Amino acid sequence: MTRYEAVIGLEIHIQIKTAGKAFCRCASDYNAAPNSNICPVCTGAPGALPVLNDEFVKRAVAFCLALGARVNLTSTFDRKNYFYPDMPKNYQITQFFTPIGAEGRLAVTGADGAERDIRIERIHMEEDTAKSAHMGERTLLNFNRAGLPLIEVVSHPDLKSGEEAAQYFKKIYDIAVKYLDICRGNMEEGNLRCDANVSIRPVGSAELFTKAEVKNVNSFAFIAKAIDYEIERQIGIVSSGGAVESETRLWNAKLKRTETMRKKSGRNDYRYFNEPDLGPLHITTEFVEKIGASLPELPDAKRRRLKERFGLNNELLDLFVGYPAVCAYFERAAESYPAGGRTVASWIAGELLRVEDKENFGKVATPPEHIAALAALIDGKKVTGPQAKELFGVMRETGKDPGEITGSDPRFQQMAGGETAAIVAAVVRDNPDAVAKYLGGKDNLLGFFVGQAMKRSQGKADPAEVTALIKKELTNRQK
Amino acid sequence: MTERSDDIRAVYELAALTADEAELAAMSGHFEKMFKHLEDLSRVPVDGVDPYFALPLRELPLMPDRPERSGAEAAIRGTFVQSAEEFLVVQRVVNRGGGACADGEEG
Amino acid sequence: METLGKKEIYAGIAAHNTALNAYLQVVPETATQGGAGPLSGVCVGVKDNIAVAGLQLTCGSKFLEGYIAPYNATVIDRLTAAGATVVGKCNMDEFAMGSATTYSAYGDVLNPWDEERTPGGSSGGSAAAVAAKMCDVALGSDTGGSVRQPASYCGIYGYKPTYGTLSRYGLTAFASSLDQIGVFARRPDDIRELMQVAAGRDHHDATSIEAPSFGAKGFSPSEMRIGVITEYEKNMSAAVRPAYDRCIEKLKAAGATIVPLSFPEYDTVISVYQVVATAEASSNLSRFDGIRYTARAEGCGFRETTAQSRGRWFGPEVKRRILLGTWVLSRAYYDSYYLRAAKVRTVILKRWQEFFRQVELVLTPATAGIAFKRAEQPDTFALYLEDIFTIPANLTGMPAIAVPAGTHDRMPVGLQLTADLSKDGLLLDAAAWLEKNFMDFATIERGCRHDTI
Repeated sequence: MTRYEAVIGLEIHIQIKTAGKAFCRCASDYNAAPNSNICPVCTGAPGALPVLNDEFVKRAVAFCLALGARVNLTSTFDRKNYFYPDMPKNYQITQFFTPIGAEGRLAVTGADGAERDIRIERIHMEEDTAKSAHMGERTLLNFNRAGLPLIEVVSHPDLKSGEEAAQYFKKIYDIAVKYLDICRGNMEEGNLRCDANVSIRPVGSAELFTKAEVKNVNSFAFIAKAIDYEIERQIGIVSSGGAVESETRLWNAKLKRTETMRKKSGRNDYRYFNEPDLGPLHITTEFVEKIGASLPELPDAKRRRLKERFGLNNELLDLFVGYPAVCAYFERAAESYPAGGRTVASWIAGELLRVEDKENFGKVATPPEHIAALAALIDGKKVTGPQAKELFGVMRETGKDPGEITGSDPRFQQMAGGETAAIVAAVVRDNPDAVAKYLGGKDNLLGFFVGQAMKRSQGKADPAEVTALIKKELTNRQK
Repeated sequence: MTERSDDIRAVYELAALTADEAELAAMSGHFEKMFKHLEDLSRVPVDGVDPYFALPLRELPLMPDRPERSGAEAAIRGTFVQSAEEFLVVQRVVNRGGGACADGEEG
Repeated sequence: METLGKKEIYAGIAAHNTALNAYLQVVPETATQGGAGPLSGVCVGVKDNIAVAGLQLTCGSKFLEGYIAPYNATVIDRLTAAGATVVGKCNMDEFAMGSATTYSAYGDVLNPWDEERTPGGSSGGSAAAVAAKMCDVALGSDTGGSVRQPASYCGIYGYKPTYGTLSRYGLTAFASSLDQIGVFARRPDDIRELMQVAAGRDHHDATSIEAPSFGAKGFSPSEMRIGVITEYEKNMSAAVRPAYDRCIEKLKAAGATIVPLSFPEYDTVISVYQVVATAEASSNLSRFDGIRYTARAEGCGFRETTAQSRGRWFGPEVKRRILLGTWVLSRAYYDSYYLRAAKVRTVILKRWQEFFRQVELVLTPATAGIAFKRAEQPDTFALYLEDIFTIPANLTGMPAIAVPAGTHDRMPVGLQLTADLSKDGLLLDAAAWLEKNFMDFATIERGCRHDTI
């Protein structure tokens, strides 16, 4: 029986959040009234001409550098000719012959746990189309979106599974939205769009077989499912003697399957040629270097550094790499308490993010230094687990730092030495029936003893310590 | 030359033009003549010559990322032949997937 | 600028436009906007492919019937800010494709000197309007000679600036790397004054450049080397030859050095132009689909509606050019046609740059002969060959001007001067010298005087 492997390439379009459009001075505002952010250029009026937005160029270069791509100091603009209602000129200005970036890479972790670079073939600038809405017998066109700047990233078909594709897509998303802040990141609005080219081949073959395109899988939840479904579908066809058709398919989320959108009738002839209204774009090495110098630390580098410095586990690393704003908070906290990185990290992940939204991690009520102080108290066993949680609550209410609160609030006073042992002894002494039952085999009565001891200590005892002492006491009684 | 008569239909389609048989025949004749004439392009030696895509040494000017109202919004909407609440309305001209009226192009 | 005055111009329009069909739309005299400034009182005719907000923009095509331009071309903004008045939109070959203004969807334009003859094209309406004194100056567009050829046929000055000197923002694109707005006038100094206002960098046009100086400097033939192209001289017609020879004699007598130049690629310019211009045009005209303009045929899908609309409302010449352009850009043909033509274009540019290392100006015929009779229009193909003298300046981007040079059979004969890139000032200085010392519009008028004018 032939075993098959999947060959997957992703084409991702990223809408860049410049103030204006790619080739005209119209505002890029999404929520404006229909056909209000328009001009002769983005509506393709006769006589209109494109002029390139300089911020678009800067962000494109930043993105190329972030993906380790070579930035072409000379790149060209070209026309891609085809007719469609949402195309104001019935050609799209894109970069075909010489894109701004080439030969980049992005690492993913394979099923075997090993890291592997996915090669990026090209990164180029182009313009978005108008938005069309269908209503019964009519199509309504809104040109507000026409001419918005897009960056397209095309990978080599190096991805091997839906899971890997989802990883790759997420990484591109994080870099564009969270690290470089060049994209709004709202998938429903189509700020990022992903098309997958999927084919299969017998394991060990180096050939490429007919691929199907799965279009517009614009949700992280579905991208792996859609690709995996498509892989299975193709394997099903080929193993029963059929051939995969070259076509475009859409993911049907309700029925959880891909469906034919249209057959590809031969390769489209887009009659690419140089855009005569825009000469070639020349940028200097200095320009590129300046942008490179202003790049933030990128996900992979951040991950390596945090792991080395703080020894965090994968879950915490995923959190901080995926949410650079949360990471920045963590690092500021860790500055005040460098030895306690793990405790600080766990507290942020477990407790802080219960009350703060990591997706909208803006102004946080608690200063990071206070979290660091709290972690120090925990590590120094100056407060118990439950005390720490209550203390955190008070910190949030009052805005005071933990040192100040524990100094004055009796709830957070430490137990005097030996106090816990004395309470435990008293609880055991005062509950002979329970002791007898426990010693007779009712192990679940342990909780009762712990509860009693906690009550007597007014919550100040450390539950872990109490449990250990009670067990010891009861075991002694047995003897 | 019959090789061009199939080609011409494909070119009509790429150019989004229709024609009846009579026009196609006339055009075929015209293009035979044109392509014969265009053969003189191969007379000129072009080894090592770069194509002329833009006048050399011209810097591409860029525009700043500061939005400006065009002032032509209302006038452009005024050119919409059919409109509804500021949208440009067209007859349902997009038909996806199969059928006699299928639109084969991009989405 | 010496202006005829609005009253006289509107009287001229009333007297002649019905016959000549030069204007497709005339701004009512009472509605004309005029202002203060260096061009105050100047009445301008504008080719109907240049956007004037609020006026029609048909480009000579039924496809754009009823379309009102939603904005001003930059050149129009600059002219009206300087006080000029737009009096009307001039008739033209459909989408600027033609050499006789017989391909307009709104009827032919007639040559004011002989109504049985064409005024040339594609800017025939603008040329006729100036020759018949229905405006002071007019704007046209020149992609392969569409300003210089009609100027030559109508006995006036027709100037194509260095590529990029006049902003193309607002000029309906035909072939983007060849198009320039051009200027018609009865006097070179009128052109100069207009250019001082209109020329120069426009942030709406990424191909526009700094204006060269248009200040009048004297022209001394004794300091000039004037090139003539030997291959052209071998093929000159009997209509043009006498004027050409007289002009050379005049310049020689004034001390100019005449330098013979060889242009071996002279006849390939037509093929290069055909390939490059139609390729760019096929793309530029794609925006005219079946959904955004009044031309909307019935169809059951977008593709069919578009194809029916374009099939029905584009004229045959426009279709021919779109088809050829689409063909030469198609995958199988791109390398041997489009790419190859672009390389030959570089060879031609280098050839002309070499010319201007030896001379300051090149003097050539503007057209093969005088305006032909409309009934005897050469066939499609032969008509393309007529552009052989004017095309090089579009391929190279260099400035060129057609100047009146004499008459033949009581019809005007023109000649052409070409200068190096951005030497537009020198070109106009030379034209002014020739006006004073060789031939001017008034003399042409007398030589061609016809009963109807």
